[in-house]
Amino acid sequence: MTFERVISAFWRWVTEPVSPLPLATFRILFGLVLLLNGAFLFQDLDMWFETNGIFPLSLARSMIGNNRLNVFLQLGDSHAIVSTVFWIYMAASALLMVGLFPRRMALIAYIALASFGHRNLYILHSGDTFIRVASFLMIFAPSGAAWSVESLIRGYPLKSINPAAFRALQFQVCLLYAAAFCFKAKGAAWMNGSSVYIVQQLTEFQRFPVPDFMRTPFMSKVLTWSTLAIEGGFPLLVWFRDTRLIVILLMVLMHLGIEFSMNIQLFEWTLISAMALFLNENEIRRLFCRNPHAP
Amino acid sequence: MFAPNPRDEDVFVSTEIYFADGTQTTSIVTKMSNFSYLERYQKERWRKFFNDNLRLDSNKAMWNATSAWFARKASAETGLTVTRVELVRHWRKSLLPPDRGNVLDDRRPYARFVFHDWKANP
Repeated sequence: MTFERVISAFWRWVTEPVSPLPLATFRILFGLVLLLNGAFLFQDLDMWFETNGIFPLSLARSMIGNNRLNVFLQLGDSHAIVSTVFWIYMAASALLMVGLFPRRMALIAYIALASFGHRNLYILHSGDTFIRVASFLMIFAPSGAAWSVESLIRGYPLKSINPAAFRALQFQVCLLYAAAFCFKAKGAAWMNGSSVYIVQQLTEFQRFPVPDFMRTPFMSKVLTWSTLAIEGGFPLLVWFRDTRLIVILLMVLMHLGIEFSMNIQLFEWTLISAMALFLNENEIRRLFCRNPHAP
Repeated sequence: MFAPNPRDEDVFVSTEIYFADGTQTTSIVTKMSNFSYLERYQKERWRKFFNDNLRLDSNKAMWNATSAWFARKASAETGLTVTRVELVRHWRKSLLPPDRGNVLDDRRPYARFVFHDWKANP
């Protein structure tokens, strides 16, 4: 394959219209994740973000900085301000989920997520980084083209959409797994197969009890190396027709397994929802529609 | 979180709060196994803040504000004056795999260290 043909194939990949259903499915699941994220945050809003909280704004300014996207730097961090920003975020997440002005709602959700994140970085994990980046990319994605209030108002769903932002979201998911694989591949515990054995002893992450046979050095090797293989294989194999569904299924099973045994809040559900981006229209219809042939 | 290597210490943070009347209370802040399954979802940010960040010496700038917050909270809940707050980290080293299969023992004790001793202004 010549360089020109590679460039040409890439150009087709980012410009040829695609079905709106994978993106619409992701929008609905992602909106739900944003709402759950807010629901879990609600009880401790004052503690994490307000003037009399555990991490005052003056400390945030000195430890995190003044030059980040953070509305609290301008508006202050009183109870009224924090609550208002929170409820705007919740409303935007709900409207994004149902697909009413989804790009504008994604912009609002992104600003709120960035502000809460930059107000207190010390409560964030990598799942928060992904939902912040994904909400940014959703600003540019025509996610309201189908299965949305917007398409109901229009009277019909669009048959196809410009794929640029959709491809960027897919690329972001692959980048996440590729980065996870590369960082883990540098670690001795991942290479010698002891990583899962070590993690299983961290009671702070434990959720449901794992059977004893899963907690042996042998099973640790199996699970550690399987994780590496799935995370390393996904960004490459998800693009090929013969392997795409297999790696998606393996990825979902891996995330469900982690979700059963470990508590990492919404990280697993966020990435399971992102798998919708890699399904085609027929698969989406078979999974989510009572009548797969309905428009 | 788990790369390039997972943390090889199981960690939690607790506080010792001393009142002006001579009484004292201990609060286990982030022993996640003490929470219900739903609470663990909600308290994951507590685990992140206390276990992954606050306990580290590199984040000592946060210790006074956190102690003062616990003092205000305890004072509001009890009506007593708080004189002192200790932030305590607890940890237990993970075992490396033995040569033969061996079910892990979660009952091993934790080491304990007071990493910050905050006193209220007289």
